[in-house]
Amino acid sequence: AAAGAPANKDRKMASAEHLVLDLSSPDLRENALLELSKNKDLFQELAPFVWNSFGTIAALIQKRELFQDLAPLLWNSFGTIAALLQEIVSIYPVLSPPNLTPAQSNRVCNALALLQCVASHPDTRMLFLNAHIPLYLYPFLNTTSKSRPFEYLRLTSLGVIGALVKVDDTEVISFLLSTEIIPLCLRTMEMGSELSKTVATFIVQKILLDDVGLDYICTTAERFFAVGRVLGNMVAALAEQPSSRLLKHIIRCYLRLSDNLRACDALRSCLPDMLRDATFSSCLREDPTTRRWLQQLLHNVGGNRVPGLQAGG
Amino acid sequence: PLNHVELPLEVASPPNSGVHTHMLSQYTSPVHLSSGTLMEDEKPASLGLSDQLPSAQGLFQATPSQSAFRASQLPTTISNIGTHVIINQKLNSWGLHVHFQRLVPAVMDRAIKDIVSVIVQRSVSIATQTTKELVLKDYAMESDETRIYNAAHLMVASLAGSLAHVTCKEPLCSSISSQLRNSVQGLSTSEILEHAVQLVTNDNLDLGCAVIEQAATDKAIQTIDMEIAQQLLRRKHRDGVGPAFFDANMYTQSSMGAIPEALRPKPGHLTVSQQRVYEDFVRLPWQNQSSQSSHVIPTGSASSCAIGPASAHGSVSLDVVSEAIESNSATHLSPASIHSMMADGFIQQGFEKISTSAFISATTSSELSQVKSS
Repeated sequence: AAAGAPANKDRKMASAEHLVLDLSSPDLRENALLELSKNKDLFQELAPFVWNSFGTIAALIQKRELFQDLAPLLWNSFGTIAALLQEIVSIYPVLSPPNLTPAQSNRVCNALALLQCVASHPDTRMLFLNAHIPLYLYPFLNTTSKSRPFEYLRLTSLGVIGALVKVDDTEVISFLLSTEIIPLCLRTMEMGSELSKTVATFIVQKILLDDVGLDYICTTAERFFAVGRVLGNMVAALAEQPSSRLLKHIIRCYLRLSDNLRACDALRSCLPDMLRDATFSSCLREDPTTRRWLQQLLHNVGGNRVPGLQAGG
Repeated sequence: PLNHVELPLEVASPPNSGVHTHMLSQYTSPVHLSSGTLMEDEKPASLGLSDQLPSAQGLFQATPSQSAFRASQLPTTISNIGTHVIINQKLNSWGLHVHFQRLVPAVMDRAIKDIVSVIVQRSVSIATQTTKELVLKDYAMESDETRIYNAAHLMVASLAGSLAHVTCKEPLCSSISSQLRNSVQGLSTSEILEHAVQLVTNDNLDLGCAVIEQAATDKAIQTIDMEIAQQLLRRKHRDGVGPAFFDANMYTQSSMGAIPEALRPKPGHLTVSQQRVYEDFVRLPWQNQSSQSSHVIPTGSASSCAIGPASAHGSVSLDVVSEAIESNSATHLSPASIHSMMADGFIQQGFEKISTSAFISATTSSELSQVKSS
């Protein structure tokens, strides 16, 4: 069953429509959530994919574009978003104390996966934002349990936010900043799994790449050092357990911070030494882009030591 | 859009007045209520309002405002919290029973008052916005305004209450336990006192959460009415008044045109199964949760707030809370200012707090420029 065959696609869409209709019925919802989120050709097997993915974050988020046809359907059909919100709110009581079961986690993550389509689609993104729906995910990002159901929940929630920031829209960035997404991202960057750390760092990177985001972070020392400290901790942890994709996003964050004059000054003293020496040489060997970013970063902060990145050190 | 994130250049880091403020800051700014006198006859306006609304052909058997409480059940003074607090019998054996009995109502009152205002403001503003957008979208073809209001009430009450509850738990827990701790110093060995503090906090946390949840629910129902009324008025002006008016713009929108027949709202009344989606919000309230792990004393550190639900306080409601909210924030909650509330400082300050307390104890300067020197 090739995803490209138009007739097949039509048939899939027809069944998707039926499933969306089922979402509004409590009895049929669980199954509809499941089917919609795992419909192989059109929609990818989203949840396990996120969990097991070894691709880059960009690829991870782009996979959702397969979902795109679904987004206007979800938004414009009667009661579907309301039903998905019910799914979200209904697990708040098991967040603290942490009692989320794997089944509950799967179910709400399926709902989140559908919301991610809505967050990704150009026709529904601003409607999604204007209805403040991302804010209902924040309690999930505020959890600290390291059990798998919670990791999975945080990761999928970050996926929704990641889909929002992917498009480089200042309005999106402003919304997220004004609703305090940064501390929540930092929290995940401190205690999450490698994958959720990567998504959270990706979000912070996208926020920083916007001028509004860079200004926001660099406005006070508290903010700058909050971010700087977490980035530094992640670098230290990477020395033990390397991850080149996470390192890539961290370096991009540092590089962007160095565009701000005061932040650049501060980085002179607080950029981890491990980024200046050869610690990550092998990690970056296959990645010329990130190597270039790192060189630029060291240049910007007036790195006096030459990094031992070139072959042979 | 840019001015949404315009920030004061100098953000004074607020003093850490207690453990709870730092927990609280995860979502809210550390605003403290000015202590005002209680107005005894204060009743949530939502009660009167929902009474005026005829129920839509029995479709909505129970709106939250009817099922959760009635006006007559509302305790009228703060002293009523004393009748709801739980004083564990175990305290007897430690000789602390009497002391805590006197202490806990006041502590609960203070702890709730400390946070209720910011929590309710935030929850209500979010839930109102969500409800307004979704209900007006889903009920664009509905000609019976009563149904629109009913759906909005059900949704906003559930969303605001849930958000308030999930948001207040941590800061409330910290606040209760730190206030208790401060009040009982020296009464017994510190080990026993710590046990007692955690026991009492654990036993009464859900009561506090329920009170705050209820406050948010009340405020939300009140607020959404204004919002919906405004929008419906605008709708009528645009489309002309008629018995079967509906949002024609919505109907002809190209995006809606692509939506299959079965999924589209149609002019006239919604089907029963469609209505049911909104009715289902009633089934969501927190209080339906059964209590599984009551009286669990966490073995971890004192700051642990992963305390199990002690018991269900389904219909507890105190006007402590509504008073605090009314007097403090009525003007801030006008529909027009919800956006500005989101934008300026209301939430942002939290970042200062969390970063200060959680991430950068080493930094003494508050301005990045001061780090420049090197």
